[in-house]
Amino acid sequence: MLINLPDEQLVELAKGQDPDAFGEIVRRWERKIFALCFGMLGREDDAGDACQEAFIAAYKNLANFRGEAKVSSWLHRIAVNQCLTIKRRQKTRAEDFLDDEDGSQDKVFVAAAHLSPARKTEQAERMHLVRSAVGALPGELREVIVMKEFEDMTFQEISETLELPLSTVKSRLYTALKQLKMKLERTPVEVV
Amino acid sequence: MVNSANRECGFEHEIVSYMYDELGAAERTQFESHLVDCTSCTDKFAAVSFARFSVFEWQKEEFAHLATPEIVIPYEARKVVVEKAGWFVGFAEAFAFARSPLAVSGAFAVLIVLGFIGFNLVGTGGNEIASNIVPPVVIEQRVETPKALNSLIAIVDQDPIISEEVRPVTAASREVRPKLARPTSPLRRVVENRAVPNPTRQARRAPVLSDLGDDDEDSLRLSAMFDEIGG
Repeated sequence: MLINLPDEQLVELAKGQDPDAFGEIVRRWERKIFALCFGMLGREDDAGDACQEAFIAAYKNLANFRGEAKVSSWLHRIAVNQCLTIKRRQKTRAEDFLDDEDGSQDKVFVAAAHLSPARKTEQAERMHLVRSAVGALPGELREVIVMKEFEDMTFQEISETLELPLSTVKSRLYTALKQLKMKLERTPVEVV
Repeated sequence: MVNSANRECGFEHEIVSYMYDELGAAERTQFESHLVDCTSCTDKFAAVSFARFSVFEWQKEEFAHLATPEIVIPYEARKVVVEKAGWFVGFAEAFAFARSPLAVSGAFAVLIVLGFIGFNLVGTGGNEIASNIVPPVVIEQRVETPKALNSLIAIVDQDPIISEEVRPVTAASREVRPKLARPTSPLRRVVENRAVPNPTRQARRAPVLSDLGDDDEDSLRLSAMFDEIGG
C-alpha cells in the first residue's frame, strides 16, 4: 500500500512516527541518492557513507520539510551537504597524511556484497536496461559516454580524439546522460 | 536557497566537469557553493549522476572483470609464409603445369644448363665482335694526315710488341679508308691524341719485367711518330 503513495504523503506519515513510511522513502530513493553521492565523491565506499548519513539527516529533519519543494529536491540538497561535509573531512585528513595523496585510491571498486537471488535478478535486469539505453543513444552521444566511462579519458583527450571543441564534448556528454536518464526512468526496474 | 528550476543559472555547463573532477580548485569551490543554494542545479546534477552511475555500474559488472585480451601477432608464421612465397614458389607457379616438386626442380636444372651454354656462346661471340671493332674517329682523322697515318701503320706493323690482334685492325682500317674518306671536311682537328691506335685489352695489359727493354724502344718510336705528325 505504501508503494502507491506519493513522496509527500509518505513524508507526512513518517512525521507521524510511521517507520515503514520512511523505509519506503529510503527504498524508493536510495539508489538515486547513492548515485548523486557517487557523482560528487567518485568512490563507492565514500558514496555509501554519504548516502547513509544523508538519510539519517533526512530522518532527523523530517519536521523541517514544509512541502515547499519536492521531496526529491529536499533529499538531493541534504545529500549534497553530506557529500561536501565528507569532502571537507577528507581534505583535512589528506593534509594530515600527505602520503595518501598519490591518487592511487581515486577510483576503488568495492567488492560486491553477497546479493540475494531477487537482488541478482534485479541487477541483471538493470544491466540489460542500461545496455539497451546506451545502445539506443545516437552514435555521437554514445561514443562520448564510452570514452569517458569505459576508456576513462579526460575531456581534453576526447576533444583531441574527436577533433571537437571542448565545450562541444561537455555538452554532448551532458546531453547523453540526460537522455540516458530519461530512457532509464521510462522503464523502471521494480525491486522485488 | 535559489529555486531556479525554470531559468539558466550559468553553472549548468559545469555540472559534468565537476562530476568528473575536471574543474580547477577555484572553480570547484565556486560550483560547490552554488550547488548548495541552487535547487535546479542540484536536481540536474542528481539526474546526470544517476545516469552516470548506471553506466559505471554496467561497466563494472559486465566489463571490468574481463581481462584485457592478449593480442599475439604471429610474426614468425608470417615470416615463414614470406619465405615460402619467395623465388622457388614463384618459379613453381611459373611451371604450374608440372605437378610434382621433382619436375619443377628438373625444369630448373635444365634452365640452368641452357643458360650456362647460352652465356658461353654469347661470351665467345662478344670477343669476336670486340676484336673487329674499328674506332671510326681514328679513321677519319687519319684521312687528313695520310702521311702520318701511313707512318703509324708502318710502325705498328713492324712492332713486335703489339699483339697479333691489333694487326688485323690496322689492316682493316687501311682497306676501309677510301670508303670512309671525307677529304673535303672543313674540320681541322688535332690528331695527336686520337691518332694513336686504340689497343685491345690484351695490348693494354700491365707491363712485366720481360717487357722492360722493348718499352724503351716503343716509346722512342711513338715520340718519333709525334714529331712526324707535328711536322
